[in-house]
Amino acid sequence: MKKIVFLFVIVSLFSCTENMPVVPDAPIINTARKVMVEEFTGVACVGCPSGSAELELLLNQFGSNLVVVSIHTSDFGTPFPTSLYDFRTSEAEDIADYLGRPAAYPSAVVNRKDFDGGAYFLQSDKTLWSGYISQELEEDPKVTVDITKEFNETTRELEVTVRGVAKEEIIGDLRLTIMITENNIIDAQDDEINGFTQDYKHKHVFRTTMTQPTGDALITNMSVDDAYDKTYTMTLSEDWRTDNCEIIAFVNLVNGQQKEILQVESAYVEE
Amino acid sequence: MLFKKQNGVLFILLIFIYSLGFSQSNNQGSFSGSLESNGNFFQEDSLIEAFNTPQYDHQLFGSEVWLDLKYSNYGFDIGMRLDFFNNSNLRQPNESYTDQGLGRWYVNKKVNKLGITAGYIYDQIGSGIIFRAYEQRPLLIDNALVGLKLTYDLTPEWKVKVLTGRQKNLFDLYESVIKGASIDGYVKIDSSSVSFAPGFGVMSRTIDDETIGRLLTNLSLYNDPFRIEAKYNSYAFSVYNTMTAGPFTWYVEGAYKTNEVFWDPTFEWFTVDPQTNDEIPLKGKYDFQDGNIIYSSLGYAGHGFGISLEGKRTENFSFRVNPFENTNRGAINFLPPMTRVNTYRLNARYSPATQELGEQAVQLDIRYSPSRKLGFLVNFSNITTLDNDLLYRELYTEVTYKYKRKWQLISGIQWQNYNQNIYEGKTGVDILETVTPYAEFLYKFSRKKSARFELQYMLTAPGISNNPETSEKYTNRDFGDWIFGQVEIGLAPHWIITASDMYNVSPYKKNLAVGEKAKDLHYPTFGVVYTHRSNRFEVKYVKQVEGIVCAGGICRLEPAFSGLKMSVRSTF
Repeated sequence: MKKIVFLFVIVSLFSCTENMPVVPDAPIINTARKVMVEEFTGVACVGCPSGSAELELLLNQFGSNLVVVSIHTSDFGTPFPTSLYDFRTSEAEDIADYLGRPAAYPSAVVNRKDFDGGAYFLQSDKTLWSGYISQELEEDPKVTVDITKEFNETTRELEVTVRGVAKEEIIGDLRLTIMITENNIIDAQDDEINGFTQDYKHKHVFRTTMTQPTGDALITNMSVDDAYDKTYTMTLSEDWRTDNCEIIAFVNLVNGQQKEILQVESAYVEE
Repeated sequence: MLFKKQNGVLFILLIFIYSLGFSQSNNQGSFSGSLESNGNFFQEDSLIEAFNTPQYDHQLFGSEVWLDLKYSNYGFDIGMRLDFFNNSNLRQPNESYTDQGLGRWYVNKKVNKLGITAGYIYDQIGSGIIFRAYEQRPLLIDNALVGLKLTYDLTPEWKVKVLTGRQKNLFDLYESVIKGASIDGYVKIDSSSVSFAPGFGVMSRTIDDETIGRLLTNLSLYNDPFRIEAKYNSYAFSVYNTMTAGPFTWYVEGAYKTNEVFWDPTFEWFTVDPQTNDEIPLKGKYDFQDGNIIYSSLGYAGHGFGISLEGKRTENFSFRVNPFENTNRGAINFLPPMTRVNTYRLNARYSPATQELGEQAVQLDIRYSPSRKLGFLVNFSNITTLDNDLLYRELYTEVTYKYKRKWQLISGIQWQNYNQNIYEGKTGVDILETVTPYAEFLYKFSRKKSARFELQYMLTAPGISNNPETSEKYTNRDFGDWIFGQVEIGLAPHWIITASDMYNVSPYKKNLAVGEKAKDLHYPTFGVVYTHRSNRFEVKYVKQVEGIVCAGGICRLEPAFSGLKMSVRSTF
């Protein structure tokens, strides 16, 4: 019996070594595809700064192939008495309702896609973001998105034209959304790592949309080389620092429950 | 297409069963089975926040059905299970899930000393610390190993087992390959009451290439000093033994797992902003560590007195099909819980989930019955992190008094400290302290007619213990104080009628908006159960507050429910 047990142990320990996979340095990204991450956050959400920090880490890795917006909603978005701003907007609430609100924070929606394996509807926690972004970057864009803009600093009037062509046949309703975000706003934030801080740097803060919050109808079905061209104008609020403001334009495909973003582009209002 | 994914297997099984049943004329086979079905009608109630899911919004109904069929003949055991999920919220409480198919099939045959099982296998090694494949329907845990299991009886006392396969993922399979083996024995010391049941097990998991690719992409985010390696293979070893000596039983198990990548949600680290060189603090990171666990329980039972003492220390023992799976999904093993299973509504409201990355826990359970009329129970459990930060503490007392066969009173008091931040992910909250007295009174009018009454009161933040860091009383009140009452009329053997209400007697809400008041809401439930032979029918109207639902230390947070729940159970 002892021999059998000994043999069993030996067999069980057999071949415990392997050629370990090599962890690469940040991959070189060579694609025209860009991925949109809509982060849901709030000034009273103590776990959210770690999610925002994770997105900065991902921006370092994926560079301009990643476009981020931070959407402050009512759940945790209620300002503190010392807050200078209220980042909540009715448009943000509409987007949260459209995409489905997170079950837990930090949470984000990657390309409005329902990925298999763990996504809470469209919402996913930060452990999944990097993998989802990589997965999306492996696909070529089905449609292009190009932004041209004109901004009058005196009147603060912004004109944005978004153009694009289909790279392959697309079946379904295509919608266009144009968002305005603002970077580097210093204001109060609760934080489980650093505690409450009055001078937290809020990045990619969602301000408004130039389209309907859930997008404007663009076209139904596209064949290869079909083109679209839309122009919008709006006057930017006096409260926003326009040199920190960004325009984000994306086209998503609506097909039943599907809301997947096909391509996104961003540009600074002033540059 | 009814069973889109496993038509072939289903067809072959049916043919096989048919052949066995009708070709073996000298062997009468036996068919058996069971049905479990749930149907939920959803009725939106924004007051209790039962809303904003597809079921409340437009689907209005969801159901789950499991139909088990077993057939035995000519030494074969063959079975299959059909699973149906229609707009079900069981997979994720806020989601809707619809699919159907073959949830399980298996073929089992013993050929002399060799046992062969192929298909969906439920089994475990030791107490499950390195491997447990099981089903827990209320949480939709079904991590059957789909593959092959062989057992061989070396001697009547010693048995060896080997198994390999992939883990079930609803109607699909995870890509990782799992394999393992164990040897279990039984040794009795001659002319004494001492016996031993020793065992040794090993499990390994190999991650597939695609998942490793995803993992490497994630790990490429980390620069020194936070850079880590990855491995395809992880191995877990376990040694265990049960010693029985008269009224004493002592179980001990120690396990070790080789290093592998897992997600540590509490890991605090930083990255550097390339533009400003500022350090950006981060929480949560993949880590690459080995793990270990030691678990032991010592019990004594005799002469109306029973005592059990359990202890467990866990360090980095997350063993899953891949590092991307979390919560209740993809677990290869099962870590024994270290708290009592409470059944009364308010006493069970805050239950701790087993922490696989690090906890140290003790539990003491003492029962004493000086007579058939009277019984006492004291249970104490204490769970901390490896740094001795409190996770959970409970003192539960119970007195049972039986008066002839006429009535029975069970009463006691429970005191809990519950780390809501860790267990429910509610950030920025203190330890939740509760005191919950309770009573249950059962009165039998006759042999068939009885009435049962329950009453519980949960007091939050009673100010008994202090936060060791601030030396101040705990202030977390979660939803505030509750009272729960229930009346249950039993008309044996067919009917049970229940009515209950859970009332937020002193409501509380953190971060109230200006002008907002915490709501004192009622959560009533009315139910009827009808049982006829082996069929059981239940209809319940339910208003249920958001809360933790646990089974064996595996828990999940369930949102509020409002609507009608129906179920049918049957065995045949």
